[in-house]
Amino acid sequence: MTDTPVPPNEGPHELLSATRRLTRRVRQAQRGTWFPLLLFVVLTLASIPIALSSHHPIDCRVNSVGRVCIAFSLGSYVYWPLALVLAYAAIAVFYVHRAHQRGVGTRVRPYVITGVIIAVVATGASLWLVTHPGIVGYPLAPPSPAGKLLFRLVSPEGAIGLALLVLAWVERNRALLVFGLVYLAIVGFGWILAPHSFWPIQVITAAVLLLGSIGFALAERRAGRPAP
Amino acid sequence: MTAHPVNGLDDVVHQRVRLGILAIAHEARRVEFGFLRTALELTAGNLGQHLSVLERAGLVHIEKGYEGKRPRTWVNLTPTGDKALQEEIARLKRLIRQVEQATP
Repeated sequence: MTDTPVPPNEGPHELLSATRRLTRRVRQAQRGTWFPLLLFVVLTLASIPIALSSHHPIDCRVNSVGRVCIAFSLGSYVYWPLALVLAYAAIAVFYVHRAHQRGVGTRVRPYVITGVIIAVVATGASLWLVTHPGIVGYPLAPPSPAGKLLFRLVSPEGAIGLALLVLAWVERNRALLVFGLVYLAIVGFGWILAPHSFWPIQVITAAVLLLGSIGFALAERRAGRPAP
Repeated sequence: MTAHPVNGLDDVVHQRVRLGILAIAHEARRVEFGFLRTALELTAGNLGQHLSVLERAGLVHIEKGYEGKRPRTWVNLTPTGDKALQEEIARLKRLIRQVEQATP
């Protein structure tokens, strides 16, 4: 029957909650959060040898607390913008292909476009900060906590975290929003754990992303299973 | 005095399955026949009939094609369908509000 009326036990409440259930089901089919997180794990770990091999101080001064330097890694400034743009292209292909296979469309475009824009803007801002270190007090004082936070937020890891918040909005995914905020907090304040070296932070952020990827993969797998 | 929301209900949309099709198509942007059939737990014939009603009303656009040798049917929401869905949801919410206000 095509024109079956709404059954008497299905009032507006039931119709709306059925609609919400269907909407959630579509969102679950569209999600593939584990993939970008895993891709960023690979990019973050691959960036460590590149940064270490091309990392050198461009200016050192002596101030009241000792010798302070501005360091620069040419390899990282070439690697990250390229890697992030290619990663977002791969994420777009993955989401479109996966959604198509599952029989739904995808909403990933705003995430990919915003991710690329954030990556380019963050690289530009980071370069500007390195060439204008006076804004964070250099060379008279070591960077303030706010200055360090700013440096971290315009780093590639910060750009990844900011874009994850956009993905959380696109996927209407509260768990990813919480994960993105925790990740950004680790990126932003990770210097407290290792103030004089950058690579332990890279390893920690990669580990956090990996845990997130595994967690979201398991959750997506569970959600895709039919109810017992 | 405003009209009671029940008077404004659209018979094409105010139907559990068809409202479900519109909601899924809205969220998914485009949705394949098989996904709709599984999500709504319908037979292919039954779903086809509901889709015909929606297509005749101009609420969805149906694309038929092949992927390899496999036939695939994709359903897209039209702007009219999107508007009809939003209006139906708004009416249902209004109805709930009015019932709740009327209940002592």
